[in-house]
Amino acid sequence: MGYGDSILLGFSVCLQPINLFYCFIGVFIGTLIGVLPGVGPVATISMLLPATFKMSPVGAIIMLAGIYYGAMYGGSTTSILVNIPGETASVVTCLDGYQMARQGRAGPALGIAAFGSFIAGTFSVVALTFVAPPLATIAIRFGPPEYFSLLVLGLTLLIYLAHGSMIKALMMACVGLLMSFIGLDNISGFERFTYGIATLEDGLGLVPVAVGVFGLGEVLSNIEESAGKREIFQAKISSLLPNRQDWKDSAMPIVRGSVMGFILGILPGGGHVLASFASYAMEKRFSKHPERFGRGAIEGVAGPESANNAGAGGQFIPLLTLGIPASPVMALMLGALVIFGLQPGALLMTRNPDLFWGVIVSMYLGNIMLLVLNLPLIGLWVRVLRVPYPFLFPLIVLFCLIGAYSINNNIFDVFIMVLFGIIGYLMKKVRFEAAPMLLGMVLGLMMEEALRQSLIMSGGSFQIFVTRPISAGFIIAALVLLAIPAIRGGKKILVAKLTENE
Amino acid sequence: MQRLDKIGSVVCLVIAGIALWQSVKVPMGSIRQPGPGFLPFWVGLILALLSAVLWFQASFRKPAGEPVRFLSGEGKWPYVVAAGFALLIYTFLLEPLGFIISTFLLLIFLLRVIGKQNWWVGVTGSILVTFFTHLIFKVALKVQLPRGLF
Repeated sequence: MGYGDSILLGFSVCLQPINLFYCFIGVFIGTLIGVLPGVGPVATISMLLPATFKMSPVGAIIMLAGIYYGAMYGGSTTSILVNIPGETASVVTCLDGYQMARQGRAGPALGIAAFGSFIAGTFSVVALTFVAPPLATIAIRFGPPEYFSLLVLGLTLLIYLAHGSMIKALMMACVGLLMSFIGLDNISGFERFTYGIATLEDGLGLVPVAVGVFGLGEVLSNIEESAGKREIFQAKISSLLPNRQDWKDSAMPIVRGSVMGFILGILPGGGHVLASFASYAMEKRFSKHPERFGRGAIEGVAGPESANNAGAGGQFIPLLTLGIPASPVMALMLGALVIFGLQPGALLMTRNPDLFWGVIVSMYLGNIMLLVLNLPLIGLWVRVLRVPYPFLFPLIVLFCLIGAYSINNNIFDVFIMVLFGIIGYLMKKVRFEAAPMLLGMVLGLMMEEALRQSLIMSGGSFQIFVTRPISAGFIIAALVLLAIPAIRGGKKILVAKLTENE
Repeated sequence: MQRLDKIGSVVCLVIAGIALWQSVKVPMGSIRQPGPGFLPFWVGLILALLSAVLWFQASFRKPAGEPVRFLSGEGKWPYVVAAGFALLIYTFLLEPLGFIISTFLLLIFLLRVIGKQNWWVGVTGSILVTFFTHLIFKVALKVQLPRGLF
């Protein structure tokens, strides 16, 4: 099947009214939760996962994907208007976006964020269209050692990107790995870490843990910080359209942000957060007037906002071609695919072309919907921001509870969710990050299986990971990545910004 | 911060200890044929080492500028504890009382006590939210919420 046929197939799936509807619902909810600080895509997707069981697999994945890239759009709105990042990926947008808003240029800032996101989002989908199929054919040849090295690369990257201490991130990844081992061993059928609790035989559910840590944990810390009082920038937004000079300044940052965001998005563990920080660091370096950054430079909005959207698109590549989730969000997508009885990975494209291409094409349409949805509706989103937190948090709590319960109709999952909500709150307080833990939990069993099979293949020698070229490539990449200065720059800004926020 | 890092490292050390203890209870296998206890054991060991490193790092580092406020936020921390307990109680009441009653009670508590709304807002808000979530999740999406008394 050529590209033309594939894309036509995608459109035929996507243009079915019901799928268009799911796509719209997805991007709408995505933008909404992107605007609301304290509710991220991870919590939302896990809460809504059970609701998708009644849908078709294609519809469900289209909607969940829509929530994810929709949230990337929505996050920038709060960064610019309120100086509160709706999502982690929008933290850098605060630096220049909010300054622009204070100078009365909120309109162009919002406008360039939307246009940049649209251009980058579309670019990443086009790139995804052409990169995914060849990668899937390479991925078919991957054996256990390649998978193991790739997973190591992914975890290394995530740990390196940790906001604070790398040791703590590494510890959390270990804890996550240990959590994944709870339950029956895939290979031998032995029970591990279950303490005779029958529900634990199937392992610790990803959804209750994710909802707890990212949903409830966030609510608990917001209760403490009385986030109800938010200063919303009261400015008239006259025109959303950036002027000619703005476009001239932003054109290259958007292009560079798109390309870099996409490449970083592909790497497991990288993703949209890294993309936006790296883009900011890069634009500052490329700029002829680096001193303008932090004082309302439009490049500082255009680049990162493009990069995080391109990164969101890129993240689908490891999932759709290798079956490896690059981030907690993708882990939930993987969970959804598995629940629908689909095997994510190299064979997905040939076995379920309607799903594969349908989801990809839905992202083209979703990006157009987002542009249409965002520009006229900014007024509405600002009003959403004014909903006082005392009204908002009981709803979030309730959705967390229902989401955790409905995944298996099991009260034990609700208990796990509440427990991890409290753990998540404590972790946030002592600055132990949750993302490495969750990714460790997701990748744990995959890593274990790959490691054990590799060692059986090699007769107990670890050399197998460096003698096979692709595997060696991943290991080397993990080492090299630690030395890229651009990422270092990004990381420094991240650390500075986060300490400033807290 | 140092003290909190130490607490964190002790907690992780305990987790590592549990992992090591549990992993030797299942077959470890050999390096040629790793068993179900193999990776848990090594990950547990690495975690234990990292915990020790963090402990020493925290001991020998010069004090960080500002201390992390723990359960602080202008004396609001009792609300966090209260919310946590309320949710734990909710998980125990959900099945015997059913979704409608227990959710109504939880929402009143969250709105009135934690959110500091007046009784009128608390009660009407709770009724409306319980009614609509029941409608959306149970009736429209057919999620099997616990019936309990109703």
